[in-house]
Amino acid sequence: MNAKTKILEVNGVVMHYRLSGGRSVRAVDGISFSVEEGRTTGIVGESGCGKSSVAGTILRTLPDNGEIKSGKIYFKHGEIAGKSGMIDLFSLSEEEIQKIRWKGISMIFQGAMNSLNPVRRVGDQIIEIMRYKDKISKEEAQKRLERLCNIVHIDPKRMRSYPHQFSGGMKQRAVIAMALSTDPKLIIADEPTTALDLITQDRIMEEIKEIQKELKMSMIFISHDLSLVSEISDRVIVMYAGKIVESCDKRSLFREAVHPYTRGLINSCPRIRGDKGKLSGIPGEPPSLSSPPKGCRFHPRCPYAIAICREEEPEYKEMGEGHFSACWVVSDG
Amino acid sequence: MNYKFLIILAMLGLALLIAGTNIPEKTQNNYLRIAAGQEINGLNPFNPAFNDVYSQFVMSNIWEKLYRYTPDFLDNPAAKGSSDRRIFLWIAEEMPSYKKVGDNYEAIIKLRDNVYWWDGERLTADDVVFTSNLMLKFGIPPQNWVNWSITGDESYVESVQKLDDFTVKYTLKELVPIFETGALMGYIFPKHQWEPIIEKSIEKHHKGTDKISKDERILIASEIWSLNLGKDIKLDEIIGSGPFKPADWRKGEYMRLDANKDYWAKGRILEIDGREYEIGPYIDGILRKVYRSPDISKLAMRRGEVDITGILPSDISEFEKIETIKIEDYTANSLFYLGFNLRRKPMSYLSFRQAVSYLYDKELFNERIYHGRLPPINSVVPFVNDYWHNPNLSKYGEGMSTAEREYKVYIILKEDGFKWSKEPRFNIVDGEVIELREKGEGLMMPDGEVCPIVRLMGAPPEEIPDSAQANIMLQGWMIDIGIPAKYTPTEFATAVDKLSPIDGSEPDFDINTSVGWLTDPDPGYIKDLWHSTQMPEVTAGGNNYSGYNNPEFDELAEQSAREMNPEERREMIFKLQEIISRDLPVYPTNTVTRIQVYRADKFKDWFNRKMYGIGGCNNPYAYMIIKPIERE
Amino acid sequence: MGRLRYPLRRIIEGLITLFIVMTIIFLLFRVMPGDPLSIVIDPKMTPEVKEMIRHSYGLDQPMFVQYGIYLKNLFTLNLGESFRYSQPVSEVLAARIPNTLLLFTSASVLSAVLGIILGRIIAWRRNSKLEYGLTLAGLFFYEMPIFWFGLILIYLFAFRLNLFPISGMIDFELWTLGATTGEKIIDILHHLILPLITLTTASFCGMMLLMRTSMVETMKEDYVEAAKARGLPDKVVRDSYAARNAELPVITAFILSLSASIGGGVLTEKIFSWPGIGYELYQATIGRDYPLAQGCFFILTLMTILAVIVIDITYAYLDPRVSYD
Ligand SMILES: Nc1ncnc2c1ncn2[C@@H]1O[C@H](COP(=O)(O)OP(=O)(O)OP(=O)(O)O)[C@@H](O)[C@H]1O
Ligand code: SF4
Ligand SMILES: [Mg+2]
Repeated sequence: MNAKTKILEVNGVVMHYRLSGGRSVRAVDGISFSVEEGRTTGIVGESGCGKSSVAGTILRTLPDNGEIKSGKIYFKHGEIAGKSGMIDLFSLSEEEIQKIRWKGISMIFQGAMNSLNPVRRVGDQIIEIMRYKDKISKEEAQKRLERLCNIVHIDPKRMRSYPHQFSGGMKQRAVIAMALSTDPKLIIADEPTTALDLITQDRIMEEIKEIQKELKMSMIFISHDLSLVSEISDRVIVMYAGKIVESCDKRSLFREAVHPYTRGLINSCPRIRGDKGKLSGIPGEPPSLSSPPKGCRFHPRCPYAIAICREEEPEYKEMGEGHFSACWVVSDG
Repeated sequence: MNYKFLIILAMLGLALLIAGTNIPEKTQNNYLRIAAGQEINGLNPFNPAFNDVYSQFVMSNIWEKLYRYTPDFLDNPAAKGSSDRRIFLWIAEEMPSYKKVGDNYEAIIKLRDNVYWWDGERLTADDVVFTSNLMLKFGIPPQNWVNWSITGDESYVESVQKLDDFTVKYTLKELVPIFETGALMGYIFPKHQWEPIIEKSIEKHHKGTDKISKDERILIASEIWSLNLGKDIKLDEIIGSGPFKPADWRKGEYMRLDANKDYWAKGRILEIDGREYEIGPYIDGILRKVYRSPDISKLAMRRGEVDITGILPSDISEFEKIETIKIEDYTANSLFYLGFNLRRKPMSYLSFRQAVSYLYDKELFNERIYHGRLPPINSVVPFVNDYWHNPNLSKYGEGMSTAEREYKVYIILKEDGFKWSKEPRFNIVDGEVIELREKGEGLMMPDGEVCPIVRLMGAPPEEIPDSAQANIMLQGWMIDIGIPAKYTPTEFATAVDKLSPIDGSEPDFDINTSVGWLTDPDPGYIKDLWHSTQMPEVTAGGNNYSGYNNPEFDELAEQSAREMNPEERREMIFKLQEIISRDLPVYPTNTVTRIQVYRADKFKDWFNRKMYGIGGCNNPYAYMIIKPIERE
Repeated sequence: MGRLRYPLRRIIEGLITLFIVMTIIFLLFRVMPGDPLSIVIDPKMTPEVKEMIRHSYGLDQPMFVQYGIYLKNLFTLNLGESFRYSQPVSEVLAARIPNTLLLFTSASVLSAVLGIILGRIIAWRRNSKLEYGLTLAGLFFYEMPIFWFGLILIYLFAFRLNLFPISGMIDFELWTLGATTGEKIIDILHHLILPLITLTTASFCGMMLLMRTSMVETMKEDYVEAAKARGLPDKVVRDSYAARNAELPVITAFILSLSASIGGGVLTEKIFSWPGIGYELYQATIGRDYPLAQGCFFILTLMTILAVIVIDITYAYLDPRVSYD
């Protein structure tokens, strides 16, 4: 294993959404991965594959019907919740996880546009979270806000505006500032640029990269866009239908990825980013997560599928150093 | 948003604080506290809108009259030669004396010389002459006009003059009883307060030197009646001569009247029902508080917030248990009736009106529905007014069972030529009607036409509780016989409009059960209600809603309005009652019994006046004689 | 210029609405059968007297003349004279409206505050026993005849326990026989509590349910989820994220209820003998006291129109997304 210390380790996590009539959506179905200190782990996959659910499971901000079934998530900074060392986030009480939120792990939400309260000033909302989390004075929070503004390139004066007076890019920056405001140990960025136009998207990506470099942030970067993920991540995790099908270092991704789904993603990687995650290279639709197909979940769409693919689930095996994959065909030959 | 919690807490705290605060002690006093059901309309005695009993109660304590009726409505020996033996001297010292002079009569009225206005001025002949001229020249107060004119046109009073300070001479074109029981029973107003006001108004509206025209008169009258007493003339500027002075008034809440400590009649002896009372007033005054709901005034009475209030029969048992509270009841001379629209068929058939009268079981209604609150009457002069009441009228089915009444009605209608497509059938055993076996159907009138739907225009339940039930029962009995009846609840204001349309058109109703009158002790109203000239289509606004037109009645009514001899007049009035009972333009159904409760531990010498009870505008004597009981 | 145009337009719209409503009210009263003289009807009243009264009321004029006078009066803000009280309508209103406002406005405020607080709690704890309990209790009081409820409260707290006065707005004995201003204020407050409790209990439920529904909606918004994820204390998320935005429709309803409160409530005013305008309006309507009834409706309409304008302004203040230029 890597000499680097892990800040977060996700271990065989299963999370279902309960539906009426006893059925459930198996949105996170036995997922394991880790995030190393100061590094970025990217999660990529089609819309609906469970990326946000993974994020929600980590922070335990799932909707009422989200139910964590099994697994463990270890987080390095137990001290934030008043414990010591590596702790299992699932073992924390609601009060303790509340402390982890934003101090330990913060999040840039998918749809940043809507994650700001429309009737309150943007600056006030950021100051509020700093004051609650760090128990600092208004003045100090104000100073910190100005520093944050410099980092995310917003004129501090604009912080007195309301969200609707911000452009999409500015809102996104504000949300990033908010995620950074309490010096969290880990940031989860869930599709931070999806709703933006391409030019703004580029600019925000540059800024995130800058912040990453400057602050040495540990980060989980989630997107349906493989090129974005590969651009920013150190490790890339490919999800399909609630499961991880492949993971490897960014550097080796394009060369070494072997899973038919990953290959499909790479091949269809749009020249121009921002296409809404529709994979022209992979025909068919992702399966329903309330009744996923038997065997390999990709088999209905997989051009290489063989008989066993329909019957048994492939094992998630190490293919080379730091490179894991789950496929009958490639692991066999 | 914590501040909201704080507000709530603060309010709750305040509430508890206030609930717990010692409410300031009220000063010990001997005011009589009355729970009233309504605010008075106003104090201006010239305003015709202020003829409600509540306003009149206050006014009757301010301004007084030359003559009144005896407190107990028993004969007054002094009134021997008068048109009504119950006339009682008040400001006047003697009964009027008459003398024929040429075509006219002269009436001499002698006033007491010890009557004083509140401001210390003496009440003299000048005031009486002034007041009478208000009526004669300007027609104010207008509702009083009926007392000054028996034709509704011109007054029978030719003129009024002062002979000396305490003697007034009226010159009359004819001698009529209403002169004594009407004109001489109006309030007397202080000339020194009102003359300047009237003169100013005349100056404003009367152009030229001619006689004041009718239009000018109306302008002047309405200007006077729109004066706001209490504001244009401050409460303490009002000048009266009566036992209580208005002192404080918060509209919608209360009015305070203070006792007139220098009341001119103080010390005078009143003989009532054989007992003697000395006039006070002894109480400090009257506090009149408005309670808009009888449920609440009842609680206020029980808790001692007030000293007198009216209650419902259902509340009697509650008060019987309370030792300090006494219960009194009285039967008012109210007149409720079934009014028939004689212009329409089938009401134009006497047999039909008789039929409905037989069906209307007033005894049953009174017992079962109204709990004794609405005693039956048989005459348009209720029995409480025994001086004029004719006790020998047809009782239309008294004592008969419902089946017997229905059978009787069937016979009456049949004999008059009514026919049915299916006749009602009765169970008759040994000549005794047991029950209606089959309902009648398809009633046809004697002229062969099908009987149209007959609407019973009744008060809606909100106005007169339980009246809907009586109307529905009557409707049921009518339908039993085959009369297509339909109860149509009608708001009072709408009913009045239909009975006497504003534009002078023909009244629009079939049978009216929704309007009643509070009648005067003088039966002169019989003429006003059924004389043919009073039909609304003849005189717009007239009160003869039924359209009763009987020359025999008209003539006798006119004659009775001119008959000065009470015995002769009584015969005529009896005859008039008989004619109404026979012709049935209306069928008298009931009057009203009211129950009052009062604090017998706080005040004594209560006097329950026949027809009017222990207080109110028509018992002006009660509060000038009650005495506070000394308390520790 | 733009900034001015909007209010100006609103005012003109308001005036037109007022004109239309007042015209309808005028017509309504004339079309409705009923004789304004019914309040003074008396067998002693001769036709001539009736005619005189009608003349002095202006009822003998043709309808369009009456309407013309009516409009002229409205424009000069002269509400005419009450038939029944022979007193300027403005005086009757001026005497009664403050009383009504005292009671009904404080009840509106209290109901709104209570409704917002409770609605917020039950929305936050959806499907809890608390929610069912409060909703059920609220609906019970809401549906309950207020007359009956008032009577029970009076019987229990005023009559039996002697905590409050039985009815009215003041203690007549105390006032007329001399009391200091301080005593009078305490006395009015003392009289206010019971009707206030009655009204609030009967009406907070509407506000509560409105708040609940509105808040359940806002709780689905991303920013509420986001605020939760930020690890803000529950109360903060509830109050400054979910509730704050959910209050907007409740505030609309509240302002409307304030404007309606000027009309008072017949039954409450009746049972508590509260000298307000509601009972007066009722009496004026059944007695066909046109000027008084019209005056009441005029004020009511005016207040409603004002309320709508106030709502717009409040919205612009409370919701920064709304602006009117
Ligand atoms: N509250 C919920 N109840 C039931 N099913 C849910 C719920 N939330 C999400 N899901 C389902 O769970 C699956 C995973 O959803 P999730 O939001 O995690 O996907 P995602 O990969 O983030 O997709 P996207 O790219 O669209 O954001 C989807 O099929 C979605 O329909
Ligand atoms: S396991 Fe089979 S179906 Fe699944 S990806 Fe591999 S080849 Fe395709
Ligand atoms: Mg997502």
